[in-house]
Amino acid sequence: MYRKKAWRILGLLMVALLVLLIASGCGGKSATQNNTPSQEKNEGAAATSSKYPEKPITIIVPYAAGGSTDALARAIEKVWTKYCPQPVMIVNKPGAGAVVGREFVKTSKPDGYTLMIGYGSGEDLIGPQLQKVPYDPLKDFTPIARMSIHSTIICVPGNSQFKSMKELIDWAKTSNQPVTASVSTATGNVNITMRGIGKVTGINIVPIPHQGGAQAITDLIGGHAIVGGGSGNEVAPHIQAGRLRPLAVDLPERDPAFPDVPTLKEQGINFYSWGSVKGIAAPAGTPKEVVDYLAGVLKKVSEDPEFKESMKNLNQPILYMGPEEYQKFFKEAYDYFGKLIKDLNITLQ
Amino acid sequence: MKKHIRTTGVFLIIVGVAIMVDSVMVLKLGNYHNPDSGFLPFWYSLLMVIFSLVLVISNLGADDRPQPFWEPLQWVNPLIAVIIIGLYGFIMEKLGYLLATFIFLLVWEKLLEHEKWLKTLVISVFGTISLYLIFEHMLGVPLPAGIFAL
Amino acid sequence: MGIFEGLFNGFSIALQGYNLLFAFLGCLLGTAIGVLPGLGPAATISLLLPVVYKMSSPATSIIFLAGIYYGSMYGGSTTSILLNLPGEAASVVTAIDGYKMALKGRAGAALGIAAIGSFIAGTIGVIGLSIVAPPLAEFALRFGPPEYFALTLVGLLLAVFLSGSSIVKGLIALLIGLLLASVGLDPITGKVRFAGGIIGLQGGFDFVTLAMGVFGIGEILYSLEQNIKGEIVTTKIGKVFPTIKDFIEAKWAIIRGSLIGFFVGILPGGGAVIASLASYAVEKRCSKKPEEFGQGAICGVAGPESANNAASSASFIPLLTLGIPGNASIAMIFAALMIQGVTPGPFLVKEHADVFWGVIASMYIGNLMLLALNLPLVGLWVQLLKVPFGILAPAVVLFTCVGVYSIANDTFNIYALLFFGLLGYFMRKLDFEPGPLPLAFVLAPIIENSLRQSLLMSGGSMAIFFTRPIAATLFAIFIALVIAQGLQSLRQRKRSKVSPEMSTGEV
Repeated sequence: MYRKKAWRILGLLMVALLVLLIASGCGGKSATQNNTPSQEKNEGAAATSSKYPEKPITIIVPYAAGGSTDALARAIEKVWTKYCPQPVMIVNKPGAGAVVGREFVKTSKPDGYTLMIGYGSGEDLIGPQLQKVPYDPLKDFTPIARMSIHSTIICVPGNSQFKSMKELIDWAKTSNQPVTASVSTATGNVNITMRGIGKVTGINIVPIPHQGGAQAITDLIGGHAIVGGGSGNEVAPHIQAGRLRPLAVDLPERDPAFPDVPTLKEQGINFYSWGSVKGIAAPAGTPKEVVDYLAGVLKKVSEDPEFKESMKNLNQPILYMGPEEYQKFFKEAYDYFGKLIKDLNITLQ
Repeated sequence: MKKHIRTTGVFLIIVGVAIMVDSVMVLKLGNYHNPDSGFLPFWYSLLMVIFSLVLVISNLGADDRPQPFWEPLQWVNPLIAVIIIGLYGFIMEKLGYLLATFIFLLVWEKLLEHEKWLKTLVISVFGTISLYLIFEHMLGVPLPAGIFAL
Repeated sequence: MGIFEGLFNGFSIALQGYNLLFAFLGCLLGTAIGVLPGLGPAATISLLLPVVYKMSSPATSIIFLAGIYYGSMYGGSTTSILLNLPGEAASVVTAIDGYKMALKGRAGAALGIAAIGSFIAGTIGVIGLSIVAPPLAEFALRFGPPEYFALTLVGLLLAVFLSGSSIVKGLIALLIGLLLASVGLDPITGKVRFAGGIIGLQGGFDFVTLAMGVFGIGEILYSLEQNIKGEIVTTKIGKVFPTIKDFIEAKWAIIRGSLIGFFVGILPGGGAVIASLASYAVEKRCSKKPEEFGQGAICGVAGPESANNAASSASFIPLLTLGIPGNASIAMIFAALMIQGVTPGPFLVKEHADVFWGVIASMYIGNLMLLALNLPLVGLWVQLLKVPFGILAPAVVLFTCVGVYSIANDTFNIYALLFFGLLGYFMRKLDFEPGPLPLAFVLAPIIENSLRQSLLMSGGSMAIFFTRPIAATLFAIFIALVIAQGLQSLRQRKRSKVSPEMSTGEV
């Protein structure tokens, strides 16, 4: 008898709880629905102005874990707490050609708690000029800082006959053979560089796109393409092992992480690219105090000896730039790639 | 069975032809020298149409023992489950993980298992709490908080 | 440093208390995430990277991460066998006969043989890793796009052979899988296909979502139709452990599976999947009772599961000897090592012998730990089948929903899960074996990339597939398999004409 009674009381309590839950649910729902996006933006600004940061900061990596941008994010994460009371959480949101992660950051609250790393990669500087993407790289993000530039190191397999760009180009011209080039993706900087070289030298370069740098490099090492390229951390271990031979770097000046590799210009090829720029950005509308605070933390990170050591291990140069400077640089690079795409007549077929 | 297989075959042929048209018109086939985005989808769908035709042809003729696709009311329970799962995704985003999971269990036990109210409630409450503890606290999966910022 | 000296050195590192503890923790965590549907090793490793940086030595961190990785491979078979929920591609093959065994009340035997097979395979894999790693890695480098295309074609063909009753239905399931995989970004040009403007579709479907939907959710919808309460419960649980007879029956399957897994698993990319498919096909051919396959043959569990685990050991070879990460989880380990200043690759064994031999030695120990951990757990897992369907079914649905949600922190995957669940439900109703669909889905990007890359390489000439020795060999195998299957079907048809009662009216 007692047991039955107890069950009944328990049941009543549960029903009461349920009613309460649903009632509060409706209330909560209508309250959030009243918020228009602009109101939310203001709220974000108001909340952050006082004592930012109050909670951990999420940095979205719009690429798969293990890539060069992910490695940079991890290197920052490692020393971050020395300079900021709140930790960072690195969240990988790869997918749809790095569109998913960017879309996510774009639609996040501009309160400084959701940032993106990799701002300035091919998906910002090149992709949007080739096809429709659901974000505007110039308008939807607030630049915070530039941390590094991943140049493209142009390489041939270690047992290749070519010792310089000139030898390669001469061979292509005399033999009139197509030069297969292993490149990371169709919208990546390596592809643009290869096509650019083909355009200015007049040789027939056939880019073979892959699903990312690691696969492109593996195919190049195996000798399945004549030439190829990748970012410093992708090619460095193989250069050291003699499986790859670097021929050139695609920046206007030499890459500080590879001081021995000459630029294309030095070898008489009138072409340069801006590489894959690795910056950090917040959603547009993030308050200036927050941006400046974060830029300050990142500047300290960029000067940290432990961070420098990590970046040396990753073969990534540290090229810090503050928010205003970076914005200017970004626009310049964006326009330069736009001109290249027009001049080289690059389309996604 | 033969009739249902034939219907499936015809359905797959229609879908296959639609994909072929899209591959040719929108995605473009390219050429062998440089195959474009529609190249493989076109071949896949062409093969699917061919095999579906084979399937239809090999299942021509009357069934030995004709039987309906669904016995009377057999489709009700799967349909309820489909609706519950679909709504779960929707309300999880709106109301948060806790409430959505509670409602999910409540409706599932009541409509599909026809449990008594008391048992339904007990299962829902304890189920919700234990799943929440497993995901949020043991595994650290970030779940939509919704109205409870727990 | 010779192998024995190296291994001795390695064991002295792996047996240090701290390293031993982390190897154990890694194995434990790996088993746990392997068992939970939807949560994979790559996601777990990425969540744990901050912890790993705080570890003093790179050897400890790679021992820990490697433990998670191969531990999850070990645990992955559990849900495939018990609930028909394969959490990764290589488990799809295990699920086919494993789940049938569970339905027949032999879940314990299936889980037990999977654990023992995994142990033997893991050990064979590590022995291979310590002896023949460098030359094999060099060989793997000779696989370019044409070789991958040929190999993956063989894989697809083997996937069709899974579909027991009807080859045509298997081919259709295969093509649906290939078509579903082409939704989203074109891997070569970056153009969006079949997305209809939906952002979630632009990224394409996720494998785990597809497998969970077609298998798990489809199965639940189908069971709900029967409206028999507790269908899963009524199956008797039977003996918890496999008998000596089971073991004798499966021992060659385990050995063959391990060898296939080790050699095919070296290849970055689809190695593990193709290995488990190949092992299944080989066992079906070798078996005296091929008709049992698909109905709960113990060799159909032992072979592919061993292949899968040997492949997970072998996938460390390209990482450790060439510095090439073969899959997402290995890529995470690669990243962790790079940040700690250890570059995986040919210099690893010279410059960081402690890391190289330490991790290999820890894998010997880890395999023992996993066996000790998993065999007693078999009894516990089997109890799961005693849970009434009315509680188990919603729990499975909720687990998979959260699992797929956590893949991209997006509810889109829940709707995709539901779509695949319906697909699986109709496939069951129409008597299509679902196996080839998810397998084709996994192999599709490799097929597409390698074919189009090959054609770009050759300037549009198909000759590239026949002039390169490895590719040509693989094509010869492909053609031989097609002919063998064709002859077999012909013979069967002749026989069925003689005895009409055997005819099913299906091709």
